[in-house]
Amino acid sequence: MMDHALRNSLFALVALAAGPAPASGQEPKTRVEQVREDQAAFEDSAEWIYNNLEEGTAAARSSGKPLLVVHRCVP
Amino acid sequence: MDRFVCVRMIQANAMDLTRFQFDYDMSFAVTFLNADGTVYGRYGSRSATGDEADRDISLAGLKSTLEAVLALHEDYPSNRELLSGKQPRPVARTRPEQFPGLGRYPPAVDFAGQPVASCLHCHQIQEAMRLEWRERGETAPEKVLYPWPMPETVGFSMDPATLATVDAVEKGTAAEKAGLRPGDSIAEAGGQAVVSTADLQWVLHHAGEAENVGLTIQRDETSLNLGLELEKGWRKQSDIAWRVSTWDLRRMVLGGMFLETVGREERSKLGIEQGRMALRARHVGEFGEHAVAKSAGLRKGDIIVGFDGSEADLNESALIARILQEHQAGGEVEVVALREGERLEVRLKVQ
Repeated sequence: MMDHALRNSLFALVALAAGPAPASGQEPKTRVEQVREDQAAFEDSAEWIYNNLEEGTAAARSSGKPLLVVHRCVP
Repeated sequence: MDRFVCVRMIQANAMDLTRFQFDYDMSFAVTFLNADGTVYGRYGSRSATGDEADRDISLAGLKSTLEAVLALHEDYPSNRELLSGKQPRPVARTRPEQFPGLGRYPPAVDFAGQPVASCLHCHQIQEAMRLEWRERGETAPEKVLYPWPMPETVGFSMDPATLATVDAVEKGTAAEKAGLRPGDSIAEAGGQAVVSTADLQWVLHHAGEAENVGLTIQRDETSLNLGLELEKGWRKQSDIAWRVSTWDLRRMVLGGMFLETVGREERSKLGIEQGRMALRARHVGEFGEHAVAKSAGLRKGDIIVGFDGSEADLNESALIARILQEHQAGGEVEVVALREGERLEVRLKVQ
């Protein structure tokens, strides 16, 4: 069985990649809103480095961890 | 996840194409690397939501991929040889902005100003590769027209809930002839460690026009070596309809129409013989260069039964490739369509 924490992390990797779905009855988000929401969700994340490959590579070099680089089309 | 350094890139602006080589039509693509740039594997999906995502990816499958990548990282660098085939290949253009038409993009998304307009999308790289051939007046090779073939192209599909387990094998295909069976776990393809379906796409993308691709599989605790025989023209079985970059091909040769194959039952109702062309205009472009079919008088719902003198039962992907290979921009093709029992004949400009 997959543990809860891992499941949540993986969910963030895949599902949040699409951006939150609008609640029933709400207007769909504009493309600009989607980009800004995505930025807000990930920019200050402790788990993610947002849109900065150089910073990620440096962190991988110093930690010895492998890099997981997601290219995600948001807007 | 905390055993990885996770980086989220939401732009292809200034992407290092010598390092990041993957299926650029994927809307969600992951590259696993060592800090020294060595690629461990790739992972991805056509869409991160809905049925298309369920077809390609799952949390369980991704977890298996992450574990396999960690094992490769643990063994690195003693496993360099196993990883050698996965490494990026030399490319003529090292940044997307070097392609004609993409030079207008800034080196980074303008978050403060226009984040959408300034974002260079990954699929635009794929479009630019095709457009470059087109604008030179040359026929693009099949590798460019049919990039990153899915395993279905050679007759098998993968179970997205697993690392690399075969879900189904189609009769009469290269996969069946190779002896592949549902339940087989693919450990290596073309001498490369496989950690995902995207890794299989990588192997197929770089396979030759005709080639025997070696597979090492695990079946009932036995390791077997199989040979997947790819015969000349094998890429033409590839379905490119789902690709975002195919919209630009529709502009070039279908006048902006998105065509879907009409089923057997409906063909009978319409009086179209089995084995003859029957493609419904699911969408007809309305603006600019995508509105050529509309301007010629074609509408959504029309059934295309003849294209450029042929009534052969081609699907949209095969029709696009044929017209691209036989007509350069500026030419014309004749299109025959059925609408409410009436037969229409129009001419479409090829772009």
